Amino acid sequence: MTPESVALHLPVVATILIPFAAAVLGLGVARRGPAVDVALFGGFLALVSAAYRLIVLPENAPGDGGLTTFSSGLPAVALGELTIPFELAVSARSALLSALVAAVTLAVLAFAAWYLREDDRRGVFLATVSLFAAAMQLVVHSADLVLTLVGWEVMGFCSYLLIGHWSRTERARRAAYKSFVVTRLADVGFVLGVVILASGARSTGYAEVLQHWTQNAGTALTVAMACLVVAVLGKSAQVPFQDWLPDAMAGPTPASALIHAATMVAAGTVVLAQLAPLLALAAGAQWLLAVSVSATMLLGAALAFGQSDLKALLAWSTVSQVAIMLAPLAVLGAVGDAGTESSAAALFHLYAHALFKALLFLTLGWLSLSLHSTLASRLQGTARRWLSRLAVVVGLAALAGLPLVVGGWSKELVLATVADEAGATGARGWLVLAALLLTVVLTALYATRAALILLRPSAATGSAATAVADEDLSTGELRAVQATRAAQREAARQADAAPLSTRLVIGALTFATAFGGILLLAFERLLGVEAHLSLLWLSVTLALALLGIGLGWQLSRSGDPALRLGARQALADGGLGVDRLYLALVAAPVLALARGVATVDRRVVDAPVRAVARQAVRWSDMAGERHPTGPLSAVSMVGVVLVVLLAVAVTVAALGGIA
Amino acid sequence: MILAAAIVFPIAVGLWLLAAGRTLTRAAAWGLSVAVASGALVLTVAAIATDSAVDRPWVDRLGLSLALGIDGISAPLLVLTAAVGVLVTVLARSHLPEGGAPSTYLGAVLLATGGALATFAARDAILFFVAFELVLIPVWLLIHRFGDSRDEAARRDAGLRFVLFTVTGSVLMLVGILTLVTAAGTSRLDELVTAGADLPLGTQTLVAALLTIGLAVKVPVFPLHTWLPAAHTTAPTGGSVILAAVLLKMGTYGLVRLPLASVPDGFARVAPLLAVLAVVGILWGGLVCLVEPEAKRLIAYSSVAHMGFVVLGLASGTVVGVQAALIGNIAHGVVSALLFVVVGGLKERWGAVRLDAPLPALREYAPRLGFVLILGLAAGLGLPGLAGFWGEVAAVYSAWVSDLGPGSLLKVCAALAALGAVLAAAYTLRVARLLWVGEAAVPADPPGASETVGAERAVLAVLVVATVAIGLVPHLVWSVTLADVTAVMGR
Repeated sequence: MTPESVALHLPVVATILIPFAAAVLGLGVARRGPAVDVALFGGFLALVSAAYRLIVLPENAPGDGGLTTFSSGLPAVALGELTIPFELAVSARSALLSALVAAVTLAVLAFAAWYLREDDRRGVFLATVSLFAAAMQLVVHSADLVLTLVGWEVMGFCSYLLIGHWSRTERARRAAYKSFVVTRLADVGFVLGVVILASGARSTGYAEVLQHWTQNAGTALTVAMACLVVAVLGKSAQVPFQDWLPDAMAGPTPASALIHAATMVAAGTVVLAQLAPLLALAAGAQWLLAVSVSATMLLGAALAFGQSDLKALLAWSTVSQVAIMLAPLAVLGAVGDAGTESSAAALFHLYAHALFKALLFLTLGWLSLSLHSTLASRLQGTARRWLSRLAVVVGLAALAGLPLVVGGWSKELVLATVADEAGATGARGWLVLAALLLTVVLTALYATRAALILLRPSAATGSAATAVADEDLSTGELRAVQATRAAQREAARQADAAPLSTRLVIGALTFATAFGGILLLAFERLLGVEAHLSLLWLSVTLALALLGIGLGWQLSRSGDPALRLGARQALADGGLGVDRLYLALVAAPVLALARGVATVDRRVVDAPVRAVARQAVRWSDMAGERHPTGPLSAVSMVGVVLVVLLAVAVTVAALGGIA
Repeated sequence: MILAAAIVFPIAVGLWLLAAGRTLTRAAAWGLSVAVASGALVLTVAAIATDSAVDRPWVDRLGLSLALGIDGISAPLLVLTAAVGVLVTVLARSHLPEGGAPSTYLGAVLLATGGALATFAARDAILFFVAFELVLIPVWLLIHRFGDSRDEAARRDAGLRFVLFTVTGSVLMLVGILTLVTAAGTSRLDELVTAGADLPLGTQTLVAALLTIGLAVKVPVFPLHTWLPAAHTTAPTGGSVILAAVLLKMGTYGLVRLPLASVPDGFARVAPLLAVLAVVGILWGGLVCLVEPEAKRLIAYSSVAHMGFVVLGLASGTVVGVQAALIGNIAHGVVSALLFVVVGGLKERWGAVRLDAPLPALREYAPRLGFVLILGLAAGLGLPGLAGFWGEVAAVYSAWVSDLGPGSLLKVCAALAALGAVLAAAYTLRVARLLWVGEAAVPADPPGASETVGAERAVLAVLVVATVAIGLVPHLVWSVTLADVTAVMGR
């Protein structure tokens, strides 16, 4: 190994092992003082090592397709026909992605250290976040399907732990259970996909798998990729698996920021981008992805608009945005660059979304800390200081896809890429493109609603307006309003009391969201694709976003428009009742089957055994009456064994006689 | 000779404790048995390191020999068995079940350990059988005498079932072994590998069927599993650990050594049916676990599911499959031992661990024990990074690539087995939701209180480390087993 490759490979292993070590160590000291220091130091070191690698990355590092693999430190395993190489890979893209994951993780750790300062299980929470980050880094760097599966599943379990962190409430317990079981169900696809891919290549290494299957495309490949797509739909909360993610809001807000921003739900995009050359050869799998993401992005955006809770709004927004991320991967042309550009567009939106979604979640957590609620009605006008107002404006502008901020660049790239491919991919391309265009409008619409809720003073908080309004209120109402006002004042006081670290985190994320797109375009080499600024699509995005904003503004003139949905808002809050569908279509039948199986096990499978056993007990009782002195069954057991041994001896002797 | 010493030492002391140990004080019996079990562990490791073997004529006229030896397939199981012997005797310091003298309990544990070591080290089919039978008696004693003293009827029922099943299985296995030995003209396992493979297909199939059914009782394979939940529910913690970590392993080990290695063509003919039963076991066990209200019975049924993966790997007839089975075997031994120590300990404290009534959250009032529980559960659902993952995913792979059976039968088995992993997640987290983050208010003064005590803590620590180590570095098992598995499979 040359010194250059050591310089390149060591930081890769370090970005995985440092958070892992921080998790193990942090768990050990979870209930003591240094828990926070361990987590923050680990997060910092991981960021340093990821940043270092970004800097030493050679000019000729492969963008994507060509893999430069190296050992992870674990020796390869040969299992007869199958080899598991346990290799990692370096590429410009993974370097950038890894730095992003490390940065978001550090932001979340620093924020959570303050946010959960009164939580007796803060140490455990921080350690779990570190483990979560290690697993995501493993997925980012993996060049081995098995290592990817390891990271994928560990992330799932960490999200179970984080969502269920406040396990003293039934809501959190149920949400944690649901998220894990739903994603695990989809993960059957991951296991089968990996098994099929590996069974062809006789190896789980990406290089071998890509090489084998690009030459042997066919039904088997389509089935394998469709299986993987199912797993991605599960982890990324896409239709029909979408309903676990909004429930996951039962977890602490920093956990949501982590799960939604750079890790769990985005992991599917990373994996499919890594396997884009194979996905490009599996049109059936792309169709599956296309139909699901088209439905999901619209459904997510529409439901986001109707939410009475702003955290749930952000959750549905994630569902919709991840669908946008996956959209370019559903329209890979079968020829040409084998998806390099499309996966670059997908990853660019991943970066953008990671930044603005982390910003939005953490800002929301900051504003709502002492309210113990994220209801839109409680949060009206809570963004009062310049930093929070700026964070809200920049974050939501990026969400809406306005130009110059990071989300605008990426959305434009996604639209342009999909439009490029639409011609080659036919109906599939047009379906996705139409869904995208409509989603841009809807996204701007609900982003506007959220902005107006947070920025516009409410009747309860505005000072001059309230003096007048108070006169019209009955005593009871007045008391309620005053209580709300007091709570909001307390929230504002607490938010003001946030330490420098929290403000730094919010400030840095705001900066990155505002200028990250420009920075990224300046370093286009890292994306592995040429900057793709098309004036046409820039104008289309802007026009559609402005349309959405205008609509949102118009609808919000007399207060929160979602309130006017009436009974339909309850429907939106309940995610259209899909939870009940899960229960009725999956949980109830499986439980009924389980009860049936348990009954059959007892009454049928076990029946002959029980009959014999009962008879034997009767005999032993009768014998016991005749010999009341001894533990007869012991004698009988020894007797039985002696008989068996005697039978051995006799048979052996007999056979010996024959011989 | 070291190997012989590792086996004879615990057996001899175990027999002495059973016969004449009543006069010993509790502390003396405990100290003696821990020393003997530790000695056996040290000797076992030394025997593996020095590749110790014994080969003496036994019944000359028949060519029977007292042959003991170690290879890559048996080495991990020998270490597991000897280590479990130490853990169970150590655990007896704080968890000594009622039902008889301490010396009787500890003697039975030592006897079972020594017998299991002999089973794994035997290089002769008849010797294997005798050693196998030797283990059954002390295990039966542990269930019948030292089982749950609160439920006399259940104890008798469990003991009787155990006898019925094992004797039936043993008779079939004996007939199978004798047919094989007579037909092949040798009882030495290393010679059977070639001599057995040369037998005509009809004989091979008959032998394979007899051996497979006989051993399937011990594994246990669906539908021969109903003795296991009863035995586990009743058995004291130490007994459950020996059942799960040692006795069941003897069944799968026997499947590798006898039908798979000795009559490969015959085994290939019964394998598709075995694979189907294995998958039925995975799903069946998983479904029952979704509604089973008693925690120990639940772990027993989950064992049926986990052993289903092991048997599926074996039935695939591939090197990957056997490798999957061997690591799955070890992983199940470690993980179920861990879960039985936790849940058995809770049962001793609470009287019963019923999942249909609200339970106090272990996470809240016994965080350390809660951590061990959730780690064991995570390993049970096959979480990567912990021991259970490798065997399951490799078993699914092996079934997918297997060319046995008609059409895509084994591919369907692979897909269904993968679905079984979802059931594992559902029932495992059901336990976590009830027991780890439970509903009920923390009792002001929980009976027998909360956290782990000395011996229990040490035992759990060892099991946690083993669970994580095998999960992170599967090479620990696979690199040991590979050469011999390839040799056995690659004839």
